[in-house]
Amino acid sequence: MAASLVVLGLAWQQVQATRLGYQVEKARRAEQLLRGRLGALQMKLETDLSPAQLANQAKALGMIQAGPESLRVLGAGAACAARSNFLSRLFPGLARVLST
Amino acid sequence: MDTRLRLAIAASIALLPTLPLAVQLARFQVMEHRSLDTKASNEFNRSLEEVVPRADILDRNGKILAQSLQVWSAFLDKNMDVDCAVVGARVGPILHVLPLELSRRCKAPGRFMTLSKTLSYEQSQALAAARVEGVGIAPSQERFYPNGTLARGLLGQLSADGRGAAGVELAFESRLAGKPRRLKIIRDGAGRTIYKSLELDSPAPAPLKLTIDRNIQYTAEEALQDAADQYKMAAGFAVVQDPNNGEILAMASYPSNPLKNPLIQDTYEPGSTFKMITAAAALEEGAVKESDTFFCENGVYEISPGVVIHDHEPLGTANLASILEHSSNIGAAKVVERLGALRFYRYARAFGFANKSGVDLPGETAGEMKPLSDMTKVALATAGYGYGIGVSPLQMVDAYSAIASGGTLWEPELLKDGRKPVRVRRVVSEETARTLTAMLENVVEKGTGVPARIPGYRIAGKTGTARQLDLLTHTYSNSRYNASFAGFLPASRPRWSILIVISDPKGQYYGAQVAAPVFAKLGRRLLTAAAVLPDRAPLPLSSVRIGRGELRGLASGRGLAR
Repeated sequence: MAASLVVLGLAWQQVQATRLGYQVEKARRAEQLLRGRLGALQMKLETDLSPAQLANQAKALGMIQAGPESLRVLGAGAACAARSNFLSRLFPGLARVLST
Repeated sequence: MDTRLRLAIAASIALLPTLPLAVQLARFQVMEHRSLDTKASNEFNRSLEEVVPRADILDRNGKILAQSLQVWSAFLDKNMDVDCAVVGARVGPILHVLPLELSRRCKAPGRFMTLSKTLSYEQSQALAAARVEGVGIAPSQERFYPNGTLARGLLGQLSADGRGAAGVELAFESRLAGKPRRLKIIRDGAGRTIYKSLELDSPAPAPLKLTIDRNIQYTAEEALQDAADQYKMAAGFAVVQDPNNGEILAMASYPSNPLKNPLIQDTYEPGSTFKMITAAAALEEGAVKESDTFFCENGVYEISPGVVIHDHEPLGTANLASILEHSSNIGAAKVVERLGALRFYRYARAFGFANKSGVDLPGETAGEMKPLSDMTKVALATAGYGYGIGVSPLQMVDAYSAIASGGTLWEPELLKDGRKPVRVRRVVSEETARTLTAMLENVVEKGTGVPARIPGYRIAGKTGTARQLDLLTHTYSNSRYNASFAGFLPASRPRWSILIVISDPKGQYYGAQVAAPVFAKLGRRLLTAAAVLPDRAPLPLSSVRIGRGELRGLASGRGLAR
């Protein structure tokens, strides 16, 4: 009786292992397909965000290249305001944070 | 007879036929178990080898320059029960191939037939769902370059078997290539796979990060393309380097060729851009002081009987700064004569010429320079202004970076992997570097490099215009030139060294006309993108004087740089 139970148990294990083997392989294939799909989408995103694509789209929108003469220095006013604040005089660290 | 005895005999007779079965069972399960198990294992067990995808190549900001993706290919195994008409009718629409065409190909001799090498995700799903007898789907890898032709001369490409064949793909093959992963599987009677275990696992190789900046690379390539459209040049090169550590930020060539990188594999005669090295050597050795003057023979100098050196514009007496400003060949010849062949040769080598730089790319040339024993008076004089020597674009930009960095030559670096920059040697003192920087600024401010000016910024650089050597006649061409400009900016605290070389431009051919504007265009974009503030107050418009010579020069090209 015990022996037949053991034999039955072993047989069940074998069947389960085979069934799981099918499932694992199916899942592996699905994972590969999805990974490929994800990769393809990421590639499309990278291509769409490539410098050449962005430049073409910018040109199509009528944008032009900025030059260094377009640079403006900001933040001097905010820094002054921060420095004059009572709390910032009391806590210089806070002033540095406010000015950045 | 006793009932029990009768039952026992009856049972024995009934069970007797099972005795041979039991004996056989014992024989198979116990005595021959091992050999039968091995046979069965060989019959059903398989080892499936998969290759882990090749590593990505990234730019310095983590943007993908190259990536391998899993793709699927479809094939037909005609040894299975294949009906070509069914294959054509059901597979053709999925692969966007005419059913009749597919049926016809199916009937061709040969066991296997490739249906498609790259299936999309949707196609692979549709094909799997179609369950056409004989049709199989196999995984494979394909290399993608999402930025198109950007940096392809640097990145290189793969061979048909997926191994690096040129460029970075070849140079770093061992780091990029994915290792195999092995799985133990069983195939059932219908050919389906049952996963058993992982025999050998291989992690995906880490991405390779380059020092290249994708945006700077694009800007450099765009500038070359614009120059190509305007000057119909045969070829063009642009290199951008960080002079503070040798990192290469852009390496652009026109036309782009994934199998060749001319910036390290080809040489060119640099012309007047080499005068910087002559001047640096002369200053460092004390052979020439800033105040020393040379008579530039008013533009015509017979250095040796029958050998005449010409300047593009007559110049009388000039100091070193003026020689660079006006790009006088005669002045440079006299400076190098005073310096001497040995010291000139030593400094040229110290700046990295006639040596491989050690950059991590295949096929680098060391360049060409006459051996010291062949340095005649004429050879030395011409070498002083950049003729008779072959340099690679990378060597030239590295030399200018040495001046920009205060006199230190850094090894060109292509990999951003946490390695410390390699300091090759100190070439000149900081004082010499500062003096030379001021002279190069003067070239841009008042001399032949004026078209490289960027208002509000201090630019240091030198123009170059060199006749190309005709390889058939071994004489210098009168119609084909290399126009170049080498420099760095902002001169007060250099962030970029840039070299522009335009080979065989049509129409205009001077470095000042052709290469300097490309330098300025690229420089402007770099300054804007990095939000670098001006390091000089802009000159009021009234103070900008354009001399008649410069105007004439701009029109005819004769007054400007050689």
